[in-house]
Amino acid sequence: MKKKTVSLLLSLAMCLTMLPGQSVFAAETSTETETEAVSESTGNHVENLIVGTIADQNVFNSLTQTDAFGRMNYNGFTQGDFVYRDENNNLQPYFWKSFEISEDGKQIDFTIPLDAVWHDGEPVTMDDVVFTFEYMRDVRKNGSLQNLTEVKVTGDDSASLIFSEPDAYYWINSSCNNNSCVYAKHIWEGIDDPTTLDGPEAAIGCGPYKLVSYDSDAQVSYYEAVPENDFLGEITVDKVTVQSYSDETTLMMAMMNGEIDTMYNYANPIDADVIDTVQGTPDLDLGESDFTGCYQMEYGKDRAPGNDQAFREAASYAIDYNQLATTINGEYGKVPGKGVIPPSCKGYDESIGSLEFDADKAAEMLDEAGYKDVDGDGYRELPDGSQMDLTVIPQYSSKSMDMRNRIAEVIMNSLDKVGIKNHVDNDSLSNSEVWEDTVTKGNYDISITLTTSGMASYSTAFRYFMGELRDGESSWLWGTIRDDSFRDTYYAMTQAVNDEQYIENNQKLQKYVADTMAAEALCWETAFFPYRTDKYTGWENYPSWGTVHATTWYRLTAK
Amino acid sequence: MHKKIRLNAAATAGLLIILFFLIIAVFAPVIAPYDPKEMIASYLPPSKEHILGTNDVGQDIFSEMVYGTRVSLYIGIFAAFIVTGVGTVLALVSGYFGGLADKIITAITNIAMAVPSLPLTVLLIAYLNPGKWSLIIAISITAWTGTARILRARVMQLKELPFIKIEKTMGVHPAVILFKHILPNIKDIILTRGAMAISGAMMTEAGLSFLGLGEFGEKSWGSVLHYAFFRNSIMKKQYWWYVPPIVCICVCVLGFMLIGYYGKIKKGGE
Repeated sequence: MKKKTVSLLLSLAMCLTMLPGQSVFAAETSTETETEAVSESTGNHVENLIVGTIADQNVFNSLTQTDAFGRMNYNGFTQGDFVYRDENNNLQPYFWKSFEISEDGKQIDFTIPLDAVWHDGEPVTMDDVVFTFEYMRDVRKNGSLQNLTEVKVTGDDSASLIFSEPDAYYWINSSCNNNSCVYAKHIWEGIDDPTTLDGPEAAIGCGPYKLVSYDSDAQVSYYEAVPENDFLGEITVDKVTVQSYSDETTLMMAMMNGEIDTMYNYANPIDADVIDTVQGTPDLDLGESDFTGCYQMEYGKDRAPGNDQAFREAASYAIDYNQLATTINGEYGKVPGKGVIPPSCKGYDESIGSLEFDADKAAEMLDEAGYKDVDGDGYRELPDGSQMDLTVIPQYSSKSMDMRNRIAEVIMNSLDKVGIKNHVDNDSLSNSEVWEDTVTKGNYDISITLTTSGMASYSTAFRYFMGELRDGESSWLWGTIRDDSFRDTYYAMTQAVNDEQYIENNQKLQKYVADTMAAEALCWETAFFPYRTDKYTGWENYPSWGTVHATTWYRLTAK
Repeated sequence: MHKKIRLNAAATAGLLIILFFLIIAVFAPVIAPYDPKEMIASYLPPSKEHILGTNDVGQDIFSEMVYGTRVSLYIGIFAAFIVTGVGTVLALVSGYFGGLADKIITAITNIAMAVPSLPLTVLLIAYLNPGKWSLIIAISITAWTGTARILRARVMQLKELPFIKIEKTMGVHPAVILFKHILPNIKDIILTRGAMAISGAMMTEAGLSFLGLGEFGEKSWGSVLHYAFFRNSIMKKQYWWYVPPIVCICVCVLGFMLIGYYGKIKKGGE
């Protein structure tokens, strides 16, 4: 009881601290945002910070998000990310010294440091910056940059991005999730497929750390600070070691033994089951926060019965949300609301009610909608009398397939209990390409996917529900909502030029999915990103993210 | 001509163990108190209602174990049937006819023996549609080699014996010689190898399911163990979850191995 009260108070305190700074529009339209000096006191430098992860360490390519190396660069690590999100989810300049967005959302003016260096010793120049945007738009086909018409150099250290459409906010907000950083022109020029470059030059960036060496057999990599690239002030962590573990249990055991100082698994907090076993360990902070991401399911609306709202509404009552919450997040899981996004997300509409489990009501509603067991085999048929057998496809994941399978089991068991026959698509379970193909073609009745905390911070789960994207975009086409109004509202949200616009459109989307039951969240979770507190001070546990982020390198000091 | 059939103590124990598990498998719906897929309440410790507690999604672990017996035995027995059948036929053909047939079969056997069986099985599982029969095929694909090699050697010995040579001279059809006269003389080895093949297949199935390569939602001992590990039952000291599948796998495999090693029929008290 005491623990729950403390947790409640902590959560409340966190929510209160987030309220004043919820804006993701750090650069207000008329106010220039300056680099925040975060390292006021030099303190004692951290000699070697050891970060544990369960991501593999086989690929060391700056332009991919593969493996631990790629994922660490969401934290301005070896790369010079243009911006980063602070603890309040506000955008702050990182490699950029400052940036300003025009009122019409069509222009970003920015400045860059003149003393930054690439890890091979070459200086970072405006040429590199111009090359970066052209490369992202023309070679990498970045959808949010498709309307970028010009990169206009206005001075030695200043330039502007000019868009033909109001895409400035859309790009800059989604860039944080896309590892948008400066590319070295002398390395990447002429390379059409960045994934093909696998030599040591592929790891070169202009971030505060350079890769010194790695051992793929031991799954460990070593980095040291590059003092010139001190984007947020003095770098206080001299060296960083990233050590991979096979799973969360071994990672946590290593942390309990003091072998690692903290952990970083992008969007994958430590499972509640593991947390239960490490609670009470001395000098270990669980790094608890409300998770902004969530598991969700969407009905395939390209065919029956998913295209029938009456069926979707009835089926939503059939699902045991309490069991799902326990399965996904143990005692910390909560039954989600109908608007999908969790309360910790910007724009959450508390007026939308929660999902409800009532199998009897579900059966009654199915009967009323014409889904009855006509042939007496124990399973309901479609209203036209034909057989109904739902295909369920959990999103493929090499690391967390067990959890997704368990979620699928709970959903399938719930539906089975009210006479809705279902089966899992076995082919999609073990092959990411098959899953991607199936989900993109909409060949499913229920798909189970995950919105990561990175996506949830701005793009939201709604991104995955769209069946049609705007011209020039094709990634993550997993949904089957083909309603133009939904798509337009989504893009209006992502292109919003202020908080009010963002929230207004976000809430429209929440209401849409709640009213149509097109999709639903499966659990609202508490996230845990544990870290040790015995050696270092200055840890900041970013909600849904943990203690490893862009400011860690400048704020952490030895005790 | 009366044959005294006497089983030694070890074989009797093996037989009793197998009988015990066979009864559980056949009468699983009667013995299991719950549908193994029914979700009741998560992580309940052992009690009168749930003698082995419940798992992470609230399923009764004892019921899972009971139904898991079916899956483990089903896969073990059918895989062993295929392994022994294929091995026996190839051994008969190879050992009796010799020549080119022997060379080809021996070459295939050598190649199959050189292939690391577990990685190949894992690879096959990944490519085949998940299911019991995929597991059976994947397990069987390399497991027949030992049986084939041992039986071939015995067949080659037998075909040099006078009674076989006389039959050949008399023009008896090879099929009659093989199946009527040679096969009965190698049945002890076949049964022994068959029993060992069942235990081997059950171990492989448990291993594959433990690695998460089993069929979705299937209740086998290996899958029970898999989810016990996935949910950190060892660190949480939920021994009632991870110990039963280990015990069942060990005891059942032991039963077949006892039969395999000691289950020879003694004639006339020999």
